[in-house]
Amino acid sequence: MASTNSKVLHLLGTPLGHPNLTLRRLISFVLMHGVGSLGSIGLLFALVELFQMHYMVAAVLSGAAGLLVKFVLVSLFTYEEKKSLMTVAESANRGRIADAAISTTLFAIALVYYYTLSSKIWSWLYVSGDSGDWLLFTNEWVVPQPFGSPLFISVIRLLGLVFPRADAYQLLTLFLSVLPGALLVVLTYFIGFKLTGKRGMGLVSSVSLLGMSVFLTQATVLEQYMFTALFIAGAYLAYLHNRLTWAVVLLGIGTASHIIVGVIALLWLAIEQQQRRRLFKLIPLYVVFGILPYGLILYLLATSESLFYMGGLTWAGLNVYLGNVYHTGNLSLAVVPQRLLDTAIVLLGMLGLAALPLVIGLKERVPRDNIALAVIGCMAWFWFSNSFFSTFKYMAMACPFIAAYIAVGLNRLPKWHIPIILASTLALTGANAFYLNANALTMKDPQATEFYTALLNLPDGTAILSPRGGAYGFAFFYAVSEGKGLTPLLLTKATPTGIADQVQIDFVYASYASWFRDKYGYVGKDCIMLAREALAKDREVYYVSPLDYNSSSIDAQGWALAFDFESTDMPGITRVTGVKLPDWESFLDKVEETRNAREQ
Amino acid sequence: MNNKTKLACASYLAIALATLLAYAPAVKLMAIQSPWFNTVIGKASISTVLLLIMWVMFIEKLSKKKQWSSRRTWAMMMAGVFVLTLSVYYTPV
Repeated sequence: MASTNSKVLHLLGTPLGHPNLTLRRLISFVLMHGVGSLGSIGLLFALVELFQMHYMVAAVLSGAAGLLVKFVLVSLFTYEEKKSLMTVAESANRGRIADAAISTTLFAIALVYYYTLSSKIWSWLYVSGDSGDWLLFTNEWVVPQPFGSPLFISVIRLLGLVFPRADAYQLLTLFLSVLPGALLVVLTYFIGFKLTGKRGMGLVSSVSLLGMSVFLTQATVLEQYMFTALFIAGAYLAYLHNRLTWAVVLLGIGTASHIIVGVIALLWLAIEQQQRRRLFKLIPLYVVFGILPYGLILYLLATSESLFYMGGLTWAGLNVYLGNVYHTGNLSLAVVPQRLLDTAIVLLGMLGLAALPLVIGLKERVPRDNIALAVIGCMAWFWFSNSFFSTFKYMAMACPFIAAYIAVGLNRLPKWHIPIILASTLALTGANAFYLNANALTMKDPQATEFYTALLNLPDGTAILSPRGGAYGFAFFYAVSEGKGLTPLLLTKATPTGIADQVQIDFVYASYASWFRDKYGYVGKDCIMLAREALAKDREVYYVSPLDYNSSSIDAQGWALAFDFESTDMPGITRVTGVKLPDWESFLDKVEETRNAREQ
Repeated sequence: MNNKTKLACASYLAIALATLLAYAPAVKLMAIQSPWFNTVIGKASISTVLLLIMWVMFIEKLSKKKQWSSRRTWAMMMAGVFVLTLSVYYTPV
């Protein structure tokens, strides 16, 4: 019994883990801190709800209540008991106190830094156009973009339910980018500390991470990479501490947040041959936390009527749903030199002088370094080989590991290197605060907010020709989910390529057309027919997405062959005044004809 | 000042200069709102190179294990290059 008690006490932390502490005192202590925390929770609510008065009052009241309860509980202790508790606190491990102090300070600094720089209005900065898709989940369950990220969307849905009146963009950015970013700075401290055995070096790795531009970009806008990175770094830290079960669970949770963690998990399994037996035993745990949650996506595919996807759980539907994922490893050899240059530029701007200790660190053998190298390599390959350069965002998930390796390298170098690296990192941190200030950059060019506001200002009943996804498409879907009465005329296919008679309307679009017919009574099979019907019913029709008439690409001009457009003063919104062609098939013929004429 | 220190100082100077030159273009590459793709479509992608490297590494490993003659190793490597070249050539753009 005594042994169980001491185990429980040990689990609850060092200051409470003193053998002289009785259960009664323990309960009082837990109650005291638990109620005292109410004030902090209230403050969080106030922050999230944009300092609305009732939340501010609630925060102050709950804080006061917490303090009051704390005083009452403290008064219940005898002098000897209080003294005993003091002794417990004093006898606590100094190292742990140092860790707690350092991590709290780092967290506070990082939180203030990232929160200050984060965008306070809806932004597509750093190519975060998917934010519209994430915002949708604050209102309803829909089919997310592939592969689904079940945990990430569930957390958003939960936040939407807990904070229904909050500014959705600020809410999600704070909880899913800013807070995880700040927590990652702390985790990096522990990884750097563990790899070098020195607290100072742990601190260096955290500071290095704070100066990394790529990491900053993802911590200050709404995207899913900070949230996912939290579990990858957590899994690695657990593994460094020989907590294999925790590592597997965290990898599983990470996989449920973003599918790329599944690739990392496979690499992990391949690398750690010596641990193979133990790892194989833990596979069911990984399946429970990482694979089973994807059942939610299958359920949504089967049941949800989302504008993004309406194909049900069918092979034909899944073929369209997953068919968009093809960019990785697809970079043409012809553009590799340019990509090398662009990659080098971004990495150099991210690392500064820390590039030198990083190179030295990567040559060092540290515990379980293969896994850290695999994470860095996996993300670097994904970015480098992708025809979509904006996947630099994935590197944000490798940044904590890169920062730890900087500390490892620096640990090998003479001490005079440390102030140089710290000065360089602080200079980058300052420069980034000025040049990569997401809030300032968004205010300067608020594309997402202006577009969304323009959509909300359109009269109800307006028909909208929208892409089936992308920044503009998701923003439009979000407006509809917010209750805006716009009629969704989805574009059949924005950029037809190949021979016209071999291109068919895809299965998902056919399902949408059927749904549209049932809901609105239109009979058209494609967007041209639907737009004609809308115009015939005297509806205002608008096309959302920028049209580039000056582009030499036939695809960029494509829809101008099908519709008569009239420009508006609304950003990204063009008015459709007429339809030039009978249907989509004839549009494809026209595109091909124009392309052939141009080639001749 | 020993040679190592001199080398480190020179490296720092070079990196500092390169960072100064790279910083503004790096910001420009990241601080965008619309995604952009490399629209150049070639018959060979970067994955082709990766496959080639993996093939060479695989053959090299095999040759070490089975103590192949260097001529046989080279023949296997060239066969891989040949097959890959053919597959690239016949891949529709």
